[in-house]
Amino acid sequence: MNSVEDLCTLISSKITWGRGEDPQQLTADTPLLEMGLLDSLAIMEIVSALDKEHGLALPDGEVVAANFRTPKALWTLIENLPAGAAK
Amino acid sequence: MSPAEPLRPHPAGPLTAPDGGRFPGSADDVRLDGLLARAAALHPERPALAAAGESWTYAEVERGVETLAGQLTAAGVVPGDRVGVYAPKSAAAVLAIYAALRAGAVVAPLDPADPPARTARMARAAGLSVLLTPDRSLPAGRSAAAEAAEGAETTEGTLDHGLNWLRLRVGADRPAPLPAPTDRGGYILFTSGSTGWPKGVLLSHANVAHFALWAAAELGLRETDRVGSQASLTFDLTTFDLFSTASAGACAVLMPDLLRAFPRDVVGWLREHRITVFYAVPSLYHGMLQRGGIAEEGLPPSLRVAAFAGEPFVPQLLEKYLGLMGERIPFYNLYGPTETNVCTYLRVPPDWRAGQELSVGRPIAGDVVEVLDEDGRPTDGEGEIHVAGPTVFQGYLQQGELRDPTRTVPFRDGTVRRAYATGDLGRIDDQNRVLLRGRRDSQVKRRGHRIDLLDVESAVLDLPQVATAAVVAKEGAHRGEIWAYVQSRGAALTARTLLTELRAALPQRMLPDRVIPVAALPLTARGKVDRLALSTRAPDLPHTDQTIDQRAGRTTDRTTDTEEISA
Repeated sequence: MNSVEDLCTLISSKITWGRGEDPQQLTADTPLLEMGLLDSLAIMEIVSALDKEHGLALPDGEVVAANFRTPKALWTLIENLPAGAAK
Repeated sequence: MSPAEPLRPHPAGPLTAPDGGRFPGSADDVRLDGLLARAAALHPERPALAAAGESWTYAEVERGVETLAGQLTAAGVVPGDRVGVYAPKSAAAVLAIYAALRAGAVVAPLDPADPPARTARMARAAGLSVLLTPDRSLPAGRSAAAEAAEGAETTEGTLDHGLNWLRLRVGADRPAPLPAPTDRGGYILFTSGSTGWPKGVLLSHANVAHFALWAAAELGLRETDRVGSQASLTFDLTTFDLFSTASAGACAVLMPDLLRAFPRDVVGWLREHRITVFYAVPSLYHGMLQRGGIAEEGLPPSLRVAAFAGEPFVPQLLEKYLGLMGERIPFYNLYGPTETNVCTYLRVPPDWRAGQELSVGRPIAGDVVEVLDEDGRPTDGEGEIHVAGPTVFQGYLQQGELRDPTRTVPFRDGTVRRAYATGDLGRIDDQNRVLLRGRRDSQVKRRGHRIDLLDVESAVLDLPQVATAAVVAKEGAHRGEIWAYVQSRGAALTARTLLTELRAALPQRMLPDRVIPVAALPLTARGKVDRLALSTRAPDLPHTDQTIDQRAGRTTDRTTDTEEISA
């Protein structure tokens, strides 16, 4: 997980894309929540994948709508995680 | 229990409004929009509705509704018309619901997050002739309307509060009028059917009002309460949020849809908005305790009464909540399919422990509940739960027509009543409380939503690439998940393409958790699809082409063309 593009790839893999929707369209500024792309299950899967596959443990208190509004918002959170959070 | 007595409410107080005022004994003549008018007369300056940082008094809501209802009438809406409110949860959606009720319409809340194709099926099943929709949902509303109108021309116009009307049916194309009492209006909530077509549950004003007034009285709602409304307006929980609240002159506070998936935000929202009354599904309560900070920081201090319904509560988490609530905050377990509103209730004893069985309690005032065996006779053993009384719906709307599935059933006191067979299995314990024991059909609950597996299966089977399929609820490690086992028609079919196609047919909440392409479905000795085998089959067992790996001497999975992904 080196860039917001990597994060977009991860998020995209947890979304059930509909017909006519292009997973490649997901950019750092895509309004994930407004577009209804993430449900509670997808959010839990993203949190769990960041933890298990990338060693990035998001504190419960940071799993809030403000941090999932766009991939960029989540990336900013990840970049600012205290050193202890990365296993 | 006494064999001569059917299950009646207890304690059976008369049904009265919280102020002891205008509704002695019965909700028969109460109109849902009348609850609003009455609150506006009694409490004109009290807050009625708060959403998105704004707040409206009862007088303001009543004025807005009255104006909007006039505009609907001017646009051609007549009493008995079936009107869909196709809007995200918002003040405008609430105004539209009340205004359509005021105009005498039968109102169906619809969710723009659902695929337009699904919404079109709902519109056709219920015989909707008009959709009301805000500007931001207008493009999706148009496409749903066009599909529902099947090529017939649709017309549209604008209304106050950023709303629009879309007419799908005119003149002779309108469905036959509904029988009384719904010829003067009512409410439609949709439920998953077994055929791929959602069924419209038709409720009269009195069906909903009876529940709303009972709940307001039982939970002790008063005009100073702030009722936190978290669910989608298509969900039956929200009839409490809107109408019990209005009956008490309290304030309905609408939670933004975006927060629902974030328990931490939900808890923060409850605190920030000083919510005093909250009604939600156990899934949300679970999340609020496990990830929302309640375990560490405690309950929002303003909360004074809470309720849950829709699915079983995880016993350990319920015990924890009861510990936090103590004697101070009553916690209610409410039960009832959409067809009966809430029909039984239990105030969970504060000293309840996780090892004990949890009942859904006794009938609400006015309703009578009976358990019938396979021969249709009342039984003290297990059987199907039947409900009779003023909360029981009018019937299903399918292909625009009303079909009443209730039957007249002899109860154990010898009285024959019009009863709805819930499909829920259960029994009545020696305290006259109802204990649930599962379903007699293919319905499951997932995160509080009622889903008919055959509804999902029929959407899968509708896809041209699919030869055959079985949709099952998993047991074991994946308990609670819905998996689709799919055999494709020739060409390679991946789980991903299948889910992509399903997105156009099913709401997100109904999508399978997993799609497993298979070479063939397992069959029972009688040649039927072995659903039990599928529901208990572990995910790591072979499912495409089982072979024995001789070297390792164990079963392995040769699934080169099988892709397994989660929805």
